[in-house]
Amino acid sequence: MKRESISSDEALAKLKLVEREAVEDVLRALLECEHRRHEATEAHLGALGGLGREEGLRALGRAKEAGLADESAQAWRLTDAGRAVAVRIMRAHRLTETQLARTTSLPAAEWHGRAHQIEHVLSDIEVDRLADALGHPRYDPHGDPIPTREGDFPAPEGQALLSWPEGRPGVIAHIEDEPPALFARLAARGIFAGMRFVRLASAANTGCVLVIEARREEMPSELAALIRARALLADEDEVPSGACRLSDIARGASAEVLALLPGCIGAERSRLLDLGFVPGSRIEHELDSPLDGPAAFRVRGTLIALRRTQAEQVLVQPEKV
Amino acid sequence: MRLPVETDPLLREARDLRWQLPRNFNDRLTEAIYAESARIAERTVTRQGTSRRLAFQRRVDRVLTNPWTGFPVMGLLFAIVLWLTIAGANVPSAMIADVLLDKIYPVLRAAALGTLPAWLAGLLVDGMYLATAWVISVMLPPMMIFFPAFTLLEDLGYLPRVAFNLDRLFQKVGAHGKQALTMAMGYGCNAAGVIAARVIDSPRERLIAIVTNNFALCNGRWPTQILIATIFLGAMAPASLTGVVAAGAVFAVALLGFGLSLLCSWVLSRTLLRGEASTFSLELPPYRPPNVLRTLYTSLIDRTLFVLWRAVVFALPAGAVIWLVSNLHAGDHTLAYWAVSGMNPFAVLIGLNGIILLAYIIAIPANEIVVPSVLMLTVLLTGQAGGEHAAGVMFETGDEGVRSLLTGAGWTALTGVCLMIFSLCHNPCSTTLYTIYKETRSFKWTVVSALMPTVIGVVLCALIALVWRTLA
Amino acid sequence: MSSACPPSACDTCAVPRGPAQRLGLDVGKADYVVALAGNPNTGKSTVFNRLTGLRQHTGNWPGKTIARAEGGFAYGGKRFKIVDLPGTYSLRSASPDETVAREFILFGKPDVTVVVVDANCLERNLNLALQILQITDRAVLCLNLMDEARANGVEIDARGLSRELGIPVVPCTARSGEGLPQLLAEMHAVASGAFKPSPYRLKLAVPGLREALGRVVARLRARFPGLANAEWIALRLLEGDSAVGEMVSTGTLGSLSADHASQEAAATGTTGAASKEIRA
Repeated sequence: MKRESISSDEALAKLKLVEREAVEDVLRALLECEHRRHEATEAHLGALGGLGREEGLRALGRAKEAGLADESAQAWRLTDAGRAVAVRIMRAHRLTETQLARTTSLPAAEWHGRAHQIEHVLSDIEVDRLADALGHPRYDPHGDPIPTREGDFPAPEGQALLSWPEGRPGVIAHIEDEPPALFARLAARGIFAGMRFVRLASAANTGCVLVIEARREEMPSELAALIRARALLADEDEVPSGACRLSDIARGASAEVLALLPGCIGAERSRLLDLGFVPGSRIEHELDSPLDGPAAFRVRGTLIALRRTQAEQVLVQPEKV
Repeated sequence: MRLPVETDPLLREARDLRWQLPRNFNDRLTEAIYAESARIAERTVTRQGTSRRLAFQRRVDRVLTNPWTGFPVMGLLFAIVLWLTIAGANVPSAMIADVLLDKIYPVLRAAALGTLPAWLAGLLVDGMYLATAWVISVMLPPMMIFFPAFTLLEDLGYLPRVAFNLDRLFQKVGAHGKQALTMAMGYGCNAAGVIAARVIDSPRERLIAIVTNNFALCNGRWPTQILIATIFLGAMAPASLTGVVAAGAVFAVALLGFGLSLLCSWVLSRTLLRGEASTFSLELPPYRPPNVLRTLYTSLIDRTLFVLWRAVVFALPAGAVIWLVSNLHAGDHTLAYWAVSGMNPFAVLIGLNGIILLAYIIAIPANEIVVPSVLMLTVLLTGQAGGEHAAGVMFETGDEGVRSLLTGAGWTALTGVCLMIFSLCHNPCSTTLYTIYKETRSFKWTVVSALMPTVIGVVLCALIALVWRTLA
Repeated sequence: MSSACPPSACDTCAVPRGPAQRLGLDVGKADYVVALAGNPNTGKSTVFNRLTGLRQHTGNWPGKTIARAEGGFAYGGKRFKIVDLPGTYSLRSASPDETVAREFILFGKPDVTVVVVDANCLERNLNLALQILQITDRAVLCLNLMDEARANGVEIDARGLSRELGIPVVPCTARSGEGLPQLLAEMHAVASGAFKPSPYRLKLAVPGLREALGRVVARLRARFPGLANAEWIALRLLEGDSAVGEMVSTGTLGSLSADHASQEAAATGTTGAASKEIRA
């Protein structure tokens, strides 16, 4: 592994910066195809790498020359050296996205674009430092595994949401962040990887109707197409019936916390957990602020104000009156 | 180059094991620790029935955060604090001024002239002593009332409720509800307001609060606003309405400051501070009866004396500069003359005059000395009689005296309005700038805090002057 | 952990009761270093002011203490340096406040850590206290705001709590000074080693965690025999704390694991004051 990466580095070092970035992009696209067992056609690769068809083809040619990729019967595949480069870029990309998600207030739709610029300029040492600073995260905010320094990572899981059977509970395993405009619409609705859902029956060709963490979402096909879903793991429970979001609890009513949803990340997540918004905590909605601002909740003996967007991230079971 | 693969087998194992833990491991851990806390607490804590105290606190909270009662109470409390400050400060201010300016000053001056060379006596007594005495007599009394009153509200636990009530407004411009408090503190002193921004734990919102604090009119600027509003705008109205018009004008300027600070927060959060980390958390602590004597003591030590000390440190050299520019000659004229005539064309463009600009430059250390500097320089440069004091010496005289002096120097209502706007929108005083630097540890943000309001002030004044002159 | 109730310090050692002599900022060379930890707005700064005679502003407003404050007092013939750590809800995140507090308790090697908790919401405050007890054995729990708790109808079985936690528990009302003499006595007893607490260790009931911890702890014990907080170190490694990882790979962890009392070396650490010589 180590020897190969050195030789691939040398091959890449001969290229100009712009060319190198394009080659790295198509290699990473190839790796994604490999993991999802897609056929890696040229058009597909260009689109995935964010390049045009022409440019994508040129980059593939250069990759082949450098011994990083191979073509057989119209399908492209990575050589071992090429895979090493692709894994490295993917690691830098997913770590950068994680960092942007956790430590900035940039909208989710911008993470990908920024990470795409940064991934090519980070040195290996900088990537390692980043991993260190983030506490070696295992999954990025889209729900994809982050390769380790040694290049190990599990294959992404799940199937297309559009083919998910009605009535069966599942978890959003991955949200494709391209095209950014569509991804932004999902993010604006507060839909993130890791959320549990049940698909409801719906009329044909109208996308799908889901109940995502106790909230009903009607999703047109173009949005649903971005989502991959997986089954619940052994240690994951279904959302209990009657559950709702903390923001839906009326003033004066009480509820018990079931979960803090995945859309709440970084410093905000650890702050809310530390303040006592953990499963099992009993919460009473005590005050509303005028102007429809934050609401104050009594949690484990203390009155804490949350903004509406924060309260939406807490899944609760209301107490029977 | 590639780093060697992790060599320490222990660390390697720890990292491999991490993949076997549940994905939401961190949440689970917090949950587990809380569960154990709850178990221990359950075994050792007993609560006797419903607490009347808690029920009372809830009722108070309902009233203080209700839209129909919460805002009136808030406005009333703020108005009372301001009224106490402005009205209550007059008497001690006059007393201190009487002692420092009318009693001690002549004695000092006579003594200095008798023992020191005339220039040194002038520099020390007419320059440094007078500037410092002025700052103390104007600044100390209001701060001694404002800060303790504010600290009492803080210790009582009321201030977090204000943040709670106003958060929505601040959220819309990308800021934190607690900015309402840093602003309120800024009405006393911007340096104290900047320090108060520490209670905002989100980096972006804290910077916004620091950079925009200057738009809260500090007590060094209230007197300027009131004086100018009275003699230029109040005087345009019938005599019976003078007070109302003047107060309305000052209130309008303060409101403009609040609006500008929201606007600047909005712009900053979408430009320079876009993407900066941002979180919200606000704990509403139980109401606690404040320990009044202790509060008075600590607020006096922590805030009043601290701010006063910094102001004095900066007023001393400023006093020297004022004396020097108005007494040192270059060619046929004093330095002040050259500076004023140099800046005059630009100043007139933005509705002011060269004297005001020079006064603002001299008054960078403390806004309190703007008006005295303006008066002193006007007397000096227009050759009008300024009472019994010598030229180049700061002094105070009645409203009517000031009015005739200034109109005699060519001031109009436009000058008055532009001065009020410029007094709201210009660089923070050097004490505040120094505090901003200490709090942010950033040269960049200190510069932004200085330039942003100044640019806004110049543009606003230029626009007003343009419109005014076109209409007139 | 001993199942017996920890004896009151005054039964076991000959420390004179009485008021502390306040030293304010004039700390000089200290015999013992005290860390003051706790949630925001629990009256930590009031305890600090009471002990040192300093007058730090204490607002009813979480997060007043931002910078770490230091002060000193003398008690029982010994000089104590007391460090007021920033108020935090937890010690596990990478936020600046929590990093400062965590690293001081770990690297600054305080002779005793006083955990100030609000008696009105013990449950919430224990969350932090239990984490601190993972890191250090030498702790005293200061059950503050007892006057308010009484007014709210909250009763706390301090002896029972002490049994559960395995450390001395002192009910106090720092504002009026109630309970502070006992607090001083317990601090002295723990700092001097006259009383050795054996704190409760968290069960950490997370699927898969016990097994993973067990393996890392076994390796840590093999490399650093006598490590008191091996489980906490292992947890930090699993959480990816690179500062702790570095201590393990460079071996500096070994010097931390040696017994406090027998150690004469100066404390070294990442935080400012912790790197100063603190022992005569």
